[in-house]
Amino acid sequence: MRASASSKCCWKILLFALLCLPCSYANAYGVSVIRAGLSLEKRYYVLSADLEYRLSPVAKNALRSGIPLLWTVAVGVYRERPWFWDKRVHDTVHHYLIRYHPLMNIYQLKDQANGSVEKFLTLAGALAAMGKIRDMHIVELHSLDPLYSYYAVIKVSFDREALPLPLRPVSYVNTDWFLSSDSYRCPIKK
Amino acid sequence: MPDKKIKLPIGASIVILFSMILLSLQLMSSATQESSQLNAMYSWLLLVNILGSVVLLGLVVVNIYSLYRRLKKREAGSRLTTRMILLFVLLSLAPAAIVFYFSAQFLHQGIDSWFNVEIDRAMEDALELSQASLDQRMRWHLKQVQQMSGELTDKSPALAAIELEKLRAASGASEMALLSRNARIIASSSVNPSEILPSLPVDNVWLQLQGGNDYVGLDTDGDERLVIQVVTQVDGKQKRYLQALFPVPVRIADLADSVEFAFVRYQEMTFLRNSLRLSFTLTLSLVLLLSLLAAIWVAFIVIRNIIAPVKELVKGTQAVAAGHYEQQLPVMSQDDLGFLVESFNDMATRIAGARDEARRASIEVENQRAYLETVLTSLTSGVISFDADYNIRTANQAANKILHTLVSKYRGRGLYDLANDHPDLSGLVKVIQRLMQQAEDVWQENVSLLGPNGRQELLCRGTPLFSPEGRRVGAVVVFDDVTELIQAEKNAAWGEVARRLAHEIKNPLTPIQLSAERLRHKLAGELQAKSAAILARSTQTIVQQVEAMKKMVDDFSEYARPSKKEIVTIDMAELLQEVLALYNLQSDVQIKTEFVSNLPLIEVDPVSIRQVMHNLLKNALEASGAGAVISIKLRQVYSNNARFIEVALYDNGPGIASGQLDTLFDPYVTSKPKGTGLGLAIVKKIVEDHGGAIWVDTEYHQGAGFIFRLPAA
Repeated sequence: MRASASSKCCWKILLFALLCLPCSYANAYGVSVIRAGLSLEKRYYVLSADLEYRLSPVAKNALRSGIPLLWTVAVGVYRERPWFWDKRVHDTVHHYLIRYHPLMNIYQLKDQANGSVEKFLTLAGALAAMGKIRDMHIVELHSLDPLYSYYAVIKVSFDREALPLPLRPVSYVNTDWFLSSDSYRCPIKK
Repeated sequence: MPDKKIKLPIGASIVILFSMILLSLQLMSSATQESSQLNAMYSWLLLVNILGSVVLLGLVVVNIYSLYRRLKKREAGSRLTTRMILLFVLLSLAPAAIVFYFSAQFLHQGIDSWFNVEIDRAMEDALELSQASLDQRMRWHLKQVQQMSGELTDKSPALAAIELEKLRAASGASEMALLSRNARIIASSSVNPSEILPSLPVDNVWLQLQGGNDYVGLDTDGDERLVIQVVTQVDGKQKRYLQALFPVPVRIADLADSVEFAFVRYQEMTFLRNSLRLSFTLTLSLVLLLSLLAAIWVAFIVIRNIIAPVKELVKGTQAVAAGHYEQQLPVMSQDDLGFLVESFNDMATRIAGARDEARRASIEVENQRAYLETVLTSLTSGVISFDADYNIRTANQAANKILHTLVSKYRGRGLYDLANDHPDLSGLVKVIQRLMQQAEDVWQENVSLLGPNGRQELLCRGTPLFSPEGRRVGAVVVFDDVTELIQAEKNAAWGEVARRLAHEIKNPLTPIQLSAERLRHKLAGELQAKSAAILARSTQTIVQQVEAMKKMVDDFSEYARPSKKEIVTIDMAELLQEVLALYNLQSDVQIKTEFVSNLPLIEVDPVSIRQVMHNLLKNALEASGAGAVISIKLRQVYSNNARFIEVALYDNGPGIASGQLDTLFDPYVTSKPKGTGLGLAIVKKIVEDHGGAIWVDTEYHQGAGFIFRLPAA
């Protein structure tokens, strides 16, 4: 009986450890929101944020091998509710793709929302450019009810499904491919 | 109407299951093709297949656990199911494992064969060649632009625009622009007039320019065509920059694109080499796992259905073994097992019929046995049957009554057990046991025993029982209590003797006596004194002898005549005291008495009992002569569950010769010269008429000893 109980306890600890493992590794590589803030510009709330992209050697190697990497910057606007979970009232999504061109020896950063392409001689330059978000239109002022409080949540997700097919299963279990950020909450000041 | 579940046929279920698995695997296989629309769903398909495997694994585990529990409970069919499942798993796993191993080997070797050092080097060389070709062109265009920049020194914007147009046309550039140090466009010229604004250098380019270096590099234009971008400083009062975009010839651009595409593709494949292996191995493993698990699960279902009739058969057999012959099993199929089930049902029906028949026969036998027992019970003859070991099997009520004990209580035991508990029956038991063991045919024997009501005469007849094979299987003994019958026969015989004696002997005695007296009377005066004296003595002798004979005949008649008893309840001790009082007067006789007090009363004819005592005392006195010592004991005894008053009388005479013991109580048996021999016969007759018994105490050797018992009231 006691053996069974201790066995159950061991299983729980192991499961907890397994669940915690990705979290602990998530800090090594991925995306961190250094600073973010929403400000009201004319009729729009715009986002300015500084993100830090930290790529694992495996991811950098993949990029150098011609595999494009795609991130999604999602900004959700939530209305606070006292007795229920907060309501998501607006979403803004931007997809950023980095690709290496060996012929030109440049890194190409593409904002898939507007199709704009930037070219960088170094990967650091491309990542820095991708991490600098300035005046990104998030939500119109009149869309928000002045009676409620709102906040925005910034989440940068690495799109594993954009990877080549053989890499996808691995990317779900290998921490080298845990390249997303935690959710970052920033208030919307009226 | 009973609820009836709509169940899919097993065959259809299996086909659907395998179709789903095949579809899922086919979708996953298609998804691995990059051109497929399912490519984006690969992860989901993989997840679905993994979940399917987990579900199937769960089903298999549940089935294994269920089988384990049934095995533990030793349920019918569980061991056969286990054997079949193990066999199936072994048969399916072995080839699948071999196929998996070799497929994985081929797959890995195939993937490895895509890559080699030569191709790798060729790819890098091709890219380097392309880059070298473009570098040469870029250097040439840089030199060209540097020369052209001199033409624009300190030119006004308007003149610069005209000059730019000329230079662009002369150099073959697609676009030229003069930029200020603040990246402001001073003048520009494009081969495409619709493009009003020229493309500006990116930040990195500006950084390089601000370092005092010219910039040349490859870029793409708005149509994604390859262009050579050159930016040089224009000398003059104000710092200006000249940017020129030269299109790469289409052929060279296409070749460069092709080389870059191939290089990137090869690099990507090289990078994905291990992932490809893993991915294909994972897919192959998943296919194998899904197929195996599905097959095992289906095997469980199929084997369960195959075993179901066997299980039913085992249950049915157990039910039949337990005596439930009405058990009928459902015939599920028309195959061999169905035939077996039908045969079982047929057998169970036949057994049930035979059982009913046997039960009817048993009831009939039981009825006959009960009837026989009733007949035996109502018989007045005692009947005891014995088995082959001469143990009592049955005894009827008459046997219990005649032997005054519950003989049936000794069922299964030998006759000697009966004799041990009832010593009075030991004589009878010895005779019967001996005859049963010795006789090969019907036997008959008269046996006397002292029962609670006195001496009993039993007429025993026995016969051994033989089996059809001639083996001795037991015996039957029938006995009748013929005591009264023998007594009646004796009385009748003695009565007849007495009648004949009276008729044949007593009748001539009177004429003889009268004739003798007449002779004496007539001739007494005529004869001489001497002759007269002889006559007188002779006639006297005749008369006396005739009288004696008359008396003897009278005594005999008295013995033979049925006694007329007047039964009263008396105290035997008192009666004995009365009788002994008459003899105590004689000085030469010593009578010793030993009476137990508080004896039960007896129901007898006191006159007859007094005669018994007188006869016995008279015999004792005559036998002992002068100085006779007579001892009389009175006590109560229990025999055959009955109480008796026992009187023992001992004298100190010569005793009884052993040769006389058998006929001592018969009439006319005497050792005395003047005795009639009727004394003891009458004593015996009286005692037996009262339901008692008398015998000689052969253990007593100081004289003669007689013991008689009379039943207590």
